[in-house]
Amino acid sequence: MLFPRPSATGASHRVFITGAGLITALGTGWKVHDEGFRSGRRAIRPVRHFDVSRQRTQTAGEVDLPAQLPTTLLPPQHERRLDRAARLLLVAAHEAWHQAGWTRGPENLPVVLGTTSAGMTLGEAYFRQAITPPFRRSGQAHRIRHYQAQRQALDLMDAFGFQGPTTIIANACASGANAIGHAFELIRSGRAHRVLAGGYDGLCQLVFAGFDSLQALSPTTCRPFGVDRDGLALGEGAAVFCLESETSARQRQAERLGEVVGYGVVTDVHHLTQPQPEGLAALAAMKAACTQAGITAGQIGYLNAHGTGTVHNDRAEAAAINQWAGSTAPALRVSSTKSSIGHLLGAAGAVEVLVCLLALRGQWLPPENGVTHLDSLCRFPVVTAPQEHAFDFALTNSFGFGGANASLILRR
Amino acid sequence: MSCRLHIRGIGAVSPAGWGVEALDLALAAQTALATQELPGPVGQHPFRVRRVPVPARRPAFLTHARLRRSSAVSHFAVAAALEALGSECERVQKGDVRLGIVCSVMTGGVNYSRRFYREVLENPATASPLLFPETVFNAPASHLAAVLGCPGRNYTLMGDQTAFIEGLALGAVWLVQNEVDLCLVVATEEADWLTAEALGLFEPGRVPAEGAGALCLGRAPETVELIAISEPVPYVRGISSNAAAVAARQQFPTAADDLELGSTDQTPGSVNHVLGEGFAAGGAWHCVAAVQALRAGRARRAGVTLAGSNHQAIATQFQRTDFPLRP
Repeated sequence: MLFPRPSATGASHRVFITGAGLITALGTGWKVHDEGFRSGRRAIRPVRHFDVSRQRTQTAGEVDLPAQLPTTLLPPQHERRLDRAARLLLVAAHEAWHQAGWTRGPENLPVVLGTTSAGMTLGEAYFRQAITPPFRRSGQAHRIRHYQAQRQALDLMDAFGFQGPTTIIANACASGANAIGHAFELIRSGRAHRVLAGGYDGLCQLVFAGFDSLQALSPTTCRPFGVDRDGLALGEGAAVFCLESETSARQRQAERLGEVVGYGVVTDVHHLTQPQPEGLAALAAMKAACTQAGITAGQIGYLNAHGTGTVHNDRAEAAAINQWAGSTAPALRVSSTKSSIGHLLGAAGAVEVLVCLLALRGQWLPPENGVTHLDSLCRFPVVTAPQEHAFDFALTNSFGFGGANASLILRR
Repeated sequence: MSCRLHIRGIGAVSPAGWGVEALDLALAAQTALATQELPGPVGQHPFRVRRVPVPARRPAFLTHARLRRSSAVSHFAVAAALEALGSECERVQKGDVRLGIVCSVMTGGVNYSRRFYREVLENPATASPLLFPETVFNAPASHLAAVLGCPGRNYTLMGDQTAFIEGLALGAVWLVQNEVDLCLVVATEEADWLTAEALGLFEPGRVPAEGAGALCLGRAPETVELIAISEPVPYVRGISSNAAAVAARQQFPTAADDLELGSTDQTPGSVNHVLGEGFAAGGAWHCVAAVQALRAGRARRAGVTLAGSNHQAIATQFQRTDFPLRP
């Protein structure tokens, strides 16, 4: 039963990552991302997936989807129906599932996903056909069926042969972080031993045009925390994690890739699309995550910022980081990997958790691209060149429209 | 922390009107509400839907700056939530109560999404930046938090009709773990020709409806208690929605023999028959109706089983606290 939950004892359980997979404009899988982030590669390029010729900005972190999807239990005719976002999710989930060594079984395995748009490309196609004479119904039922996020969650269950409760969080650009955070809480509280969790979003015309209409997209290059920053770059991708309790990981003798130790979640009620200028909600989220992890700001060796590259976000986030880090700010290493792969919206939080995991395991810091002159607001150094770095804790911030603020802390 | 959770308040906006009383009266009358015509795209026939009637008096909360550009889906959510929160509103606004918000949607802000995408297709360079922010799924939950000045946990869940009960389970967890003192669980939808057309592809003859429903969950004793929420039964491996609904309901050791409401029930007088297909809000209306029946003393234990359109089945049970039998 979801409620009451007899297994919840009040004891706190450690939560380990035993599998993780990702796909972004840098490519597919750990290796390519390890190399890409380590060397500071930038994967923003002209959008080919839909027409952007009349937009103010024409570039994004577009993914080259693999020609063939990985082999799963999904029948080929079902695979062919998957839209772009569902394919991204499946590719990332496949890598995570196999890395963890999970097998299909009768276990009730919860799935927690974050997304902003789900199968929006299908929704767009539905609409275009619905308003174009002659009005035909052909293919429309399929588009509706596969457009909604719950279909993508069911696809995961069918693909890997399990079932369980699904939670699909749509908290705008914090969705992926909320998904990992919720999964963390499920295991930490003893309500689940294992959870499959992640974030995903595919590029689509509606959302691209939306950010363009707000003049939030950079017409040049995305330069988070740069004094001359002029907007964000959109991207697409997915990251999926196999999370499990210490007991479960030990029983399976699974490799522990990293540990999730803190999650802070706060709502900024200032404005639908703009953060409170002093970043008070971001500050509260970082503080809450640190409190839960039982560490101080000074112990965070790397902070993966939300860092969109917009004037408003970076100003508020810099103010929050300054206040949170206090006297330790000059020693804190910060970067935003959105300059490399773009802003992945509902996938961003999950992908950036994986960036932190890669950095923690390799003991290096992912640099930002394109920043030559740092905004004087930043009392912390921004990593602009690849470097080695010994550290034990990483914090990642994710903020979204609607005031969704989430911070997650990982331990090596 | 106590596992016993109670229903602090309920709220509803539906084709029957603004408020739980209107909903209750409509269900008691057991007569399908009148439908209205909703224009389709140019060259297409209109659709039959059940709209929320224009309120007799403009709700005061609509003067909040946040709601000036928002669409009906947000107005319904805020109205239902404020009704459910009742006298606790002031304490929340003062910051004396840690309030969590869980908002569920199936179709969400479809009016603005459709309008914005239409503008994009015509000329993306002139598409309105005022519309786009309201297309995000969490806009209603965000506006609700702004109206209440509530910085606490705030999740928007996507799903089918069952998402409301999923939200109830999430709110229950937050309460049990002492993350919040009260939790508003809301589901909201707005009518649009796009969703009306889509519904017709799968269930011809069903009338789509709009509105919202809300439950305010708390730990303090009240007349009605949340007894149980089943594990959801997802539609995988070819399981039918009816079989999934049975599997969800059978998880309860004791049947709610006083009152059993179900989303598959289309019989005259049922929630769906009277109000129409409210998608995620429909799931909420079933729960609000069940709690209202218990509050009014028309039943001692009530069950709600929802078999969603395309995701899963799930069931929940409520009970009067003065009814001694617990499952």
